[in-house]
Amino acid sequence: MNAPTRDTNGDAAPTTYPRGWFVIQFSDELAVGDVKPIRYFGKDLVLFRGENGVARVFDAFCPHLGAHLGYGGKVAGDALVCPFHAWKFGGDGKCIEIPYAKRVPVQAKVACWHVDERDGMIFLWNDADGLGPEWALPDLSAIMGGFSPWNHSVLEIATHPREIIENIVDTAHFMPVHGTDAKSFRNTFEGHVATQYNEGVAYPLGGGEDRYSLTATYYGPAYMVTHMTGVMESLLINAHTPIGPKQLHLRFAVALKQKGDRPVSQKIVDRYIENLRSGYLQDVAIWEHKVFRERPLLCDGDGEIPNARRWYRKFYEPRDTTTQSPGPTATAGAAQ
Amino acid sequence: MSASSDKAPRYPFPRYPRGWFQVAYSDEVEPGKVMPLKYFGKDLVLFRTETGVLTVLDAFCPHLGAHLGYGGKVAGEGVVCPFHAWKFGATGECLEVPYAKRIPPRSNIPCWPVEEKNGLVMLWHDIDKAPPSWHIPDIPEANQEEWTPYWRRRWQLRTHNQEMAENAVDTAHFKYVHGMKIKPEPHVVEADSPRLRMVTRTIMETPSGDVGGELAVDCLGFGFSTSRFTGLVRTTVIASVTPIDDEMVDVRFSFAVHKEHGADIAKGIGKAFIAEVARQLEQDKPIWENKVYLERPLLCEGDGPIGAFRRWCKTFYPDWYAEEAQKAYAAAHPA
Repeated sequence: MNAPTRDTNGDAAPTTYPRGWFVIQFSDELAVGDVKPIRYFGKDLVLFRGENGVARVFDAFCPHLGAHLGYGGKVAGDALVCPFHAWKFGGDGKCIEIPYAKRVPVQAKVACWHVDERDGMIFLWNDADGLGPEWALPDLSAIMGGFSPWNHSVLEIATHPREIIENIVDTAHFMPVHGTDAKSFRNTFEGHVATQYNEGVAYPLGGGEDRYSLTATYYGPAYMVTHMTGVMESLLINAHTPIGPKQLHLRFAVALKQKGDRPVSQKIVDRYIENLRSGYLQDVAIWEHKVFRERPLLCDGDGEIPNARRWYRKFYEPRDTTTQSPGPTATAGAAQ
Repeated sequence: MSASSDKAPRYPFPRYPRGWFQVAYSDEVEPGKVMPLKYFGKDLVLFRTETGVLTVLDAFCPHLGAHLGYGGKVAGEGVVCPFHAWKFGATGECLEVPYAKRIPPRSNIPCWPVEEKNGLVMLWHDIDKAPPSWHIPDIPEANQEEWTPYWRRRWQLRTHNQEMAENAVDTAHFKYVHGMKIKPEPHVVEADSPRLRMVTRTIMETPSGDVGGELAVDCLGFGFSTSRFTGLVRTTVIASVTPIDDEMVDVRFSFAVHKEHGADIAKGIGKAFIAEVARQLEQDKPIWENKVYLERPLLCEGDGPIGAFRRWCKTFYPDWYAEEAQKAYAAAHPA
């Protein structure tokens, strides 16, 4: 999808990228031995899964003569081998072998990024200051029991991440965009976590009413988990990852659980996912074409947009080093 | 998919080096033929007059801008514009405007130096518009009774002449990209601009065992090189690389096999050997198309004479052009 840039009519967007964990792939998209070129945060990167099952991300270009490790690079054990001259890079990005040279130059390494993989997703930690993870990702496994596997999809859209996150406080858009009547709605902001508590009535495509209650939580600037109870119990992922200054990947995933022991047919499950997805695409259509207002004209009933913006801005600011953050859970060793 | 804003220059050196570059084969341009060309980021027209004179001009008529390569016709010793029938001679001068009493001044079209050698139509490019400072020699294999006619392959690749040329001195890649059994050990025999000559001992794997041989590569600038393989079957490959625009190059390989011992380009060892060389280019393609150029590569023992090669490369870019390219690259790729 290629929308024209809207910043000519709106306010200038930041050209840097926020600090945090970003979903770069669903686990089932990367088999053992897979090597993929990826591009995020304006950088060319390579993603691979070693034979030990660990997913890793390196800067893309070999320090030797500049080949892109993601086009033709091969996994050997836990290491990645360059397609050009077979320099071999271990899991921490250090060159461990040059098959035709007696010794490996000490500077021979590629930058290794912090990666975490949990709950069926592969996450990348981005930090402009090159520091390690400031917080750990939540563990969804405790609540995921009995849920179906993720039904996931990805879209590339032309917008800035700040458009996406405002959704979490925008109570007034539910009726006009989604046709949903949010009866009770509130937000909390705590550190890197922003939460929406929302109860109301949805009117699905097939007709009828769906009384729902949901908690939608951003863990950092880009990864939102929604736990919703309605006709069925659902978990939704809404995650975005900047590709460049004006493009991002938007990932959407649904997992469902039947309520009680009432059997639900696959047809109903498919219909339910379709409903959720169409609600999501209604938001996408707005994001793709809107402009950003630095000073929006707000009215009572608009929700906590200024609070959300204040919360989001923190991910662009240098981190507060006076408080000790929880240790990283990243599997990757070296800082980028 | 990469971001659409990636229009930054990809290399810290200029896009269009000085030298001779193939733009067609002679037999594609019979007398009376007019062809549009797109090379060096420019639209051009190639035509052959009735007496056989070959000409390359800028494509657009100075009158109202028609492209001479689309509908232009050869008449005698010139080409006639399809739009208002202005006629231009083999050096680009306007010979006739059929409906006007006199030909306006400044009505000539820029003309490019062109030569036919070894069955190839070669164009001279110099950003400073200087005339050719060297010439392409006749090679002994071209159109000779004891050699087969050319077997031709063509590719369009997203890379640069200099990146492709660097492969010849990059000894280590032969084994790891192409799976050659033993790393060839080339040594630069001569690097005297515009010529670069290398001789390499090779081992080729064949169904009947390993065969030792020799590969002699003779480059004249970035556009034209001759590789001579001996050992298995005497084969010569003329490799020509011509810049199309800011992104792409046009690559033509012309193979000739010596007919001794009944060798043939169309079957047996001759055919297998050519398929192997073509396969090697396909293996290099994803690397060239996706790599970056590192000005300070991290080299180790066992790498070929890449430093010497890069010094030779600089002789094909005028200083001002090289500086301009370096500046544009540095601005787009802050350290």
